[in-house]
Amino acid sequence: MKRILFSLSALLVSLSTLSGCSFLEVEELGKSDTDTFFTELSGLRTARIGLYSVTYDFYDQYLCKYAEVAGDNLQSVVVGSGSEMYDVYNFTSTPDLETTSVGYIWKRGYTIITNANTILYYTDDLKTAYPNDVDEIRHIEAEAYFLRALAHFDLVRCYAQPYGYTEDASHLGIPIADHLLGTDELIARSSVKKVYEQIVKDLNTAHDILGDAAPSDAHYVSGMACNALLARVYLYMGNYILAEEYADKVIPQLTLTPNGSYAAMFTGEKTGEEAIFRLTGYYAGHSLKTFYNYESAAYVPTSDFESLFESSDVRLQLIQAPDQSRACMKYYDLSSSVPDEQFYNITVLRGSEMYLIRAEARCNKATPDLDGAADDLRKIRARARNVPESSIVILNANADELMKEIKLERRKELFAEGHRFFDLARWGDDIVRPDDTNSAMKHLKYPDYRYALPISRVEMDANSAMVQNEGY
Amino acid sequence: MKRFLHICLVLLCVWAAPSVQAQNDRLLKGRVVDEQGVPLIGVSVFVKGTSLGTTTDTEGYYTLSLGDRTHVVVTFSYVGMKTRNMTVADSMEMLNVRMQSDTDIDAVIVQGYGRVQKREDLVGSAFQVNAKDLEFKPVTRLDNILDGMVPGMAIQPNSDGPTSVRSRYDIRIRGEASLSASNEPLWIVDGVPIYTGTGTNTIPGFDSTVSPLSFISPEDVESITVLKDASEVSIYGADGANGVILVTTKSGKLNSGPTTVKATLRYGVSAIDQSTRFKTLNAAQYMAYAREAWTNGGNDPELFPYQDNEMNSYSTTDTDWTDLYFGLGQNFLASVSLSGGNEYSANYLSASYYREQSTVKGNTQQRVTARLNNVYKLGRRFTVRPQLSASYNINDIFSPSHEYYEILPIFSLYDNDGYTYRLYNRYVSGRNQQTGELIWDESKFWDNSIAERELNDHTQKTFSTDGNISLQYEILEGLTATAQFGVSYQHGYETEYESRQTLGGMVDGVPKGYSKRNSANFLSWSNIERLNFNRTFGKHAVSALVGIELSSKGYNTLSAYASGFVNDHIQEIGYAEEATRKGYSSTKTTRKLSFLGQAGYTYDSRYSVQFSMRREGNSSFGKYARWENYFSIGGAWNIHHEEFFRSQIINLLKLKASFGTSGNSRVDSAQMRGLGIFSYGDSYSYNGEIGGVVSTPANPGISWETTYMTNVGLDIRLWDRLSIAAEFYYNYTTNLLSKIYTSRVIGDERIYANIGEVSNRGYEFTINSTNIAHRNFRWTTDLNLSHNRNRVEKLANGTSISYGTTITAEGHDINSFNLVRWAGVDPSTGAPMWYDKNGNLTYTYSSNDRVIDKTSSPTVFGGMTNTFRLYNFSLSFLINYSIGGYALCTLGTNGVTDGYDIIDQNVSINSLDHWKQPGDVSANPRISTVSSKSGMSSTRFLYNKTNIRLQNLSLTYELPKRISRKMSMSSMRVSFIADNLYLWTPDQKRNQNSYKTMMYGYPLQRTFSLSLDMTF
Repeated sequence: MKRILFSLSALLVSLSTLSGCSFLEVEELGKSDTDTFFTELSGLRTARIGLYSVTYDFYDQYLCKYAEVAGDNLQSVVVGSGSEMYDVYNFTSTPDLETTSVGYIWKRGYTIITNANTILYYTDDLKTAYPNDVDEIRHIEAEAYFLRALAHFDLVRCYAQPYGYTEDASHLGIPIADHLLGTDELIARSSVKKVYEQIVKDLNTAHDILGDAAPSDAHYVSGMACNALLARVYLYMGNYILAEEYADKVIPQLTLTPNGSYAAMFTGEKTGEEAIFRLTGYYAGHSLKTFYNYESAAYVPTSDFESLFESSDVRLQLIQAPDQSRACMKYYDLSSSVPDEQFYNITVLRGSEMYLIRAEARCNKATPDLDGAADDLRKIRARARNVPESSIVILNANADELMKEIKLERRKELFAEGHRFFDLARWGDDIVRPDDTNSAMKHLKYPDYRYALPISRVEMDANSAMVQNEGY
Repeated sequence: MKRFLHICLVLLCVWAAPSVQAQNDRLLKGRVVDEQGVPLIGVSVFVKGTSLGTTTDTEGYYTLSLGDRTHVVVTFSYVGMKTRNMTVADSMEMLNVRMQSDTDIDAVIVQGYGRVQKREDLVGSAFQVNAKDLEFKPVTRLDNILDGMVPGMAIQPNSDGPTSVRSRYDIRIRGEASLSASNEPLWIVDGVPIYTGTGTNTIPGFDSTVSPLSFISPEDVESITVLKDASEVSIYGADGANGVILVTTKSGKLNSGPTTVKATLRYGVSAIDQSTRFKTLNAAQYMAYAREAWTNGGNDPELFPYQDNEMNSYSTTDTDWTDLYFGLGQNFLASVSLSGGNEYSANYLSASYYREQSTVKGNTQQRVTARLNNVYKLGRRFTVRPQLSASYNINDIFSPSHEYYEILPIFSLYDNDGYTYRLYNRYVSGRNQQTGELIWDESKFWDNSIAERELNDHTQKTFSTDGNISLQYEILEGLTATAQFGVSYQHGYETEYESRQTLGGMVDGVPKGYSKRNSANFLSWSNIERLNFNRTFGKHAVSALVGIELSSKGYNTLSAYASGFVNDHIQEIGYAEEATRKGYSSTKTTRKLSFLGQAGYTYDSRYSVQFSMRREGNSSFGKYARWENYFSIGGAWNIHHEEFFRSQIINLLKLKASFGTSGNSRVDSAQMRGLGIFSYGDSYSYNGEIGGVVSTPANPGISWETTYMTNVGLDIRLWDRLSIAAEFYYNYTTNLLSKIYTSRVIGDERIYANIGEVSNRGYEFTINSTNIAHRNFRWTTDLNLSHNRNRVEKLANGTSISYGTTITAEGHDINSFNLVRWAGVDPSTGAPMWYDKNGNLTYTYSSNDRVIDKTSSPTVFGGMTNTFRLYNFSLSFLINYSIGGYALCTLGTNGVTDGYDIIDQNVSINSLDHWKQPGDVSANPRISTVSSKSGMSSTRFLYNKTNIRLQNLSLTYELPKRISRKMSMSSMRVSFIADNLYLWTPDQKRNQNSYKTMMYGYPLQRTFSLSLDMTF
């Protein structure tokens, strides 16, 4: 009897140890749950491609359009509440506009960050599992840090007032997602200063891995891209010393795309000599192409903008359609008749911008270097007009005058590449549109609450820690 | 002739008699009375295992000759009474017997894990349906057989539209408490959970769901117990929140005597109940209606599409399509079972064949089953119970959709040759502007699915087997250790073929043929080790249970399809055009590991307390919520056993209460388990490479729905003939799972989260009454009535979840309607009118004007069974009723379109009452091929669900024992059975459509059967 009881209890005890064993660990096949996906290196590789893909989508569908439509270079072709970016154009964005820029820049921007964070969450385990592939994994980590920084940078440009809005940049920025966030975490907005610190930190981390190397294929993140983006970020922060320093690192590594192949660097497969980081829409969506397609464009450059160019300026080709009408041609590729195989490229960073950043930094730093700034500007102008640099005369009697020239050149050079509105904002410039504009907003005086987008109602409702931008 | 028979009979008797009388004769005498002491006439009294027997006389007396037998067991049986087996001591000469009616308060309730309890001692809420109650009910499947029999349990088809002849039935025990997880109860057959499909009872891997509950022969069922409150379901842990249904199959019983053979033969015919048929326009009515709508729509009357031509003679065609889809059905059941047992072993062996041809043509169900449930006693302490069953099911499937009433009556089934199924119709599509001639076009006649029914194949063959072995060891008196291992396995193979002669089998008009093969297998197993203790020490009765359960359930599916066959006889995928051959597979496994325990104590049959708990680990759970504890506590007080309680009227008075928790782990998607989902594919490619992105972020902290259940009950029995059981419950479910928006910083899609709380409160009454208990006439009534009130108590941020026409909103029923209110027809213009959000009349339909009002949950529902017994006849009928609640009928919204798609589909006959000229007061607006949005979802299509159904009726004649015994049977019964005899709804009108004709997607099937039951 005792023996039986003993053996029964022994059985019970031994069975209860089962609770700790693997009986409940069921491997689910055919389910692409994230944990399973990242158990293999191939999953990480796929996720890397996916990360580039969502970044491309973000730029293609929202960022480039927003920066331009909110600026002063475009005019709407179709006027009506249904037309794309209508509320951006008229500065009538409200928190309820979930499915337009208000909700979607936010949503898609954080999609990039979530995907980057997911990659970073799993790389440590993968390094252990694949010790021979640590270099590759580290490289992917660097790309994730870079793209996470880029997305934070773009979001803070859209949803917060510019860095210089308050003395110490203590005004509201965006939530920082520096790790894979859980659903129970409180997600509040950090100050703009904190956001920029995070961006710089991520870029430095990426740079530590990638070094200063120039890209072997500019469609992917490189060490050079880290330096280039740091140059831009410091410029936005008004840290001209570092902006110049980082531009200095990049410029010797590249040559400007010559006049002859200038137009071709935007479309087609080749990235062009000065390319630093370009997103490609090969076999992807092509929202920008449709947006600017001269046959049915939603927005075209204003005649005022067109009149800024001299007739010899190579860049004029990119704002004039084959039928001579005004249209942005930077996203119009005819290299293949198969739509999927056309290259809808979005330039994120290129050499010309580096010259313009250095010019602006040299012009604005505590002890301005106006000659150096003029030299940089001259390079861009001479290339555009296909004339020797020596023939370009730049008025650099004082910093203000030179700055005007730099602003003008930047406007012309970087048109439709996702800069204009953000540049105006950080310069603290008003948005002034021609009198005959069909926008309800002819003159937006800086500062104004509308220099930042509202946070969407969906986000406000779902997130108790969220604070709305003033004015909305 | 008569005389000859008489002589034969006498001869027979003479031949039989001496064999008895020649022995050393021992006589047993006595009297048989019922509970009230009323003598019972015609009680069959016989020596078990022999043909020796007699019946009681008019005063209830009997005299039985036992011959020279010793150690005899005498069986007393009587319709409506519990059969009694009495052991007769060798010296005994006198044996008086008091028989008890079947609805005995002492009936035991099966609770699972080896626990059975007398109803009197029951602390929790459990309702048991016994084999006797299932007799003469339809044997098609096990779930809807229970309709109306169990208080608090609502059974209805998953859809009220014509979707499948084999409806998926929604079973809701005490209301609905989940938005995303399953609301279905857990089915356990002989201790092994069986797979009944996903949360909506869909069976993965197949294109048509055939419920696994149709694989079990109801003839094999000994009892079905529905467990409802915490003290019953907590021990089932994370599967218990929706209630548990325990099916116990018949098994051999030790000491039950020599083998008894039971055989049943049943044959029935069925036809649709024409009064429940959805009525549409005939050809003449259609033509007039369509032309009116056509002209009103501003179209040129000369361009009316349906004008006679060489292909279609519209003016002379009047097809009753419903008639072509429905026909006479048949069913046939043959079953035989053997049971018996001695001291050391007992057997139950059964076999059955069932075939049902539905009234919806093209549907046949066939089931062949065999079962072996044995018991062996090894020595004094060991008991082994092997159980094995196999079931082979062949289902020929054809499920017509709306076409059976939607196809225009002016179309004909065949081409003009009279035998080729019509695939095209010719119609006028316009006029040539230059020549003025009419332009003709041909349209594909997709709706003509009769061609598909006749030419295509769709069959599902499923082999299902349940195996179960338990080994029980009696350690001490009352203490047993049991190890049980059970397996439930189903393998199904579905073949589908679309003929080259049907539109579905053609590609761009070229005959191809399309073939699909689905295969799936489902395996569940469970292993339970438990210790049960049950003992009475004087006034103290103690029971206890501890156990461990390991279980696993899972499935694998495989599917292949292809098109491009040389002819219709090939069909196998390997012979199709290679490029078209495709396939896919899926697999899923869930495992559980649980520790369970229960302890009960009863003092002096007066006070009972019971405590139970379960700790469950479930592989479905997220990382941080894998283990969960459930518990319950309950008590009962048998007041009638108290000394102070003396009543001649009240024989039983009991109060009981319980409280506890249970869970719901049955979620279908990985997202609901908190896992992140990663999507991979072309859409995320970059620079020509395929990429993957996070589609749903992980939420590992997601926790499981927990239901807190409170139950209070009162049992009372008056004059020993009227029992009333009343129960009140309040179930509160927390951590309701649903998709919500999270901060976009986390992810860009809605994710599953614990978003709210919902309550179900209600009451259930069960009344069993013996209205008349005369010795030759007996009338009993069993009535149950249930009410459930559902309320969404809390939602994240108070945000409602809208599903179009219904909404889940705080403070409302979980299934509340959210509809624009219909305001009728403007008599001056015939325009439809609605109320806007503020209650003002409006002529424009806007979904912004939706208002939350009314729910689909009925106010009260239940069933009533009346049984009459007059001499050897007994009549029993079951009436189901449902009062209150509303339905947005699918047939209502589809069939009333006010002309806008009259060119494509027929309309409800009620549409004839529409506005024609100013001043007309009509139910339906002006008809036109231009939509006035009158057909948009609104309260116009909301119907009161109140209905009463005469669900089942059986009339049985039991042959007098002396005659059946002459045919060497111990009993023989002939029964007439009718199913779905009548349906009543308050709004029914002759030749009009009402809720009655729209309640289900198809007309009701009324069946009349004859059954012959024999026991040897």
